[in-house]
Amino acid sequence: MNKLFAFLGLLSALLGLVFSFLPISNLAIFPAIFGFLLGIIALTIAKRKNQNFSFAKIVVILSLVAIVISVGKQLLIDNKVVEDTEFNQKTEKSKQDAVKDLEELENLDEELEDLE
Amino acid sequence: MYKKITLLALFIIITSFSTSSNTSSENNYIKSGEDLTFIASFNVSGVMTDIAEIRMQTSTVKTKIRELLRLKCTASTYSSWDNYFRVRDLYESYVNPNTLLPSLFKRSIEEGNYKKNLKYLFKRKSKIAVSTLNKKGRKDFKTNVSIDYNTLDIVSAIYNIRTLDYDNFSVGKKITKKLVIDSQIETITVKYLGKEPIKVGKYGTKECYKLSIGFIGKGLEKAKGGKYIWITADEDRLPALIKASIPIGAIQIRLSNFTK
Repeated sequence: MNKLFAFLGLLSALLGLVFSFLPISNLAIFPAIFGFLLGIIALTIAKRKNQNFSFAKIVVILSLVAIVISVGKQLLIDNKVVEDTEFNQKTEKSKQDAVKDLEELENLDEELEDLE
Repeated sequence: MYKKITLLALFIIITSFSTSSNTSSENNYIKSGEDLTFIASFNVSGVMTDIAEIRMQTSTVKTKIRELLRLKCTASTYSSWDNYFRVRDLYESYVNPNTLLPSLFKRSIEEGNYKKNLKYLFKRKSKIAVSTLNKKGRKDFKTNVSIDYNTLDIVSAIYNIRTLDYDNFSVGKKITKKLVIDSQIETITVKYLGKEPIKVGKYGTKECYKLSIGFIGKGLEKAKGGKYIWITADEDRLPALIKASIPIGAIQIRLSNFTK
């Protein structure tokens, strides 16, 4: 039972750790907390039965790392869009091309009637 | 998946369309110089993950003989997403400032490795929109789409819905509008659901008109599901919040900043 808790805890902790490095780091908190709880349970059982509890300790530590990274990213890193010169230029060119298209449309007198 | 999400998000934002069939509403709300910023988020089990910034800007564009209103929408992923799935989408509509009827619509999509350019030139008297599609590395594909006088594009529709006279709407009133989407005419419904207070970022709580967006026909079948938009019940008529359900969660687009 102890090993089962520790193994499931490890899987959750690793999942949380992977999530914490991705842009979806806020979702890491769920598997990380789950892993932490399973790690604590495994740790408690192991201590009570005087078994080796180093595996359970690793689960708890990995879970805590995932939680810290996830929470830290939420608190310290702002979401922002980087200044994209290429995109800005493309936007401006699109506007210039649009004016040409609109003037061509204006040259078709019969189409202009509805546009004014 | 992101492509679908962005499209859906824009559909929703989009769908905010205007009045019924044959009369176009007069624009008393949308002026040049408006700049709205939104945060687009994906909601999984109640946890919001911010994905992209959407900006909607208006400006005046002059041709040789007239002035048009340029409605520009951009969607850009946040820097944290750029390494995984970079999005730089540009949507533009060049409209009559009084009626918000479009003369030209342009859509330029860059989503990961997927690139696509689409353009509709509206010839209203001929009742056609000339659609020009260009996908990366391919030749232009032109086709004519039959339209009626009030047919909109996705962007002008968003702005158009903001100009409706909701104060004289009864709860449950439904409006339909036609617009060109992917070179096809699609029909959208907008149902007025009454007023609700909504928290609008740093601007506090505002009274908003709540609208439900629906799609008629098979073309937008995939986009079916609960879709709602809240528009501030004031002179700004700001789209404060947009929510849409999708099979694996929900999309939420909320207004974060605006200048006029």
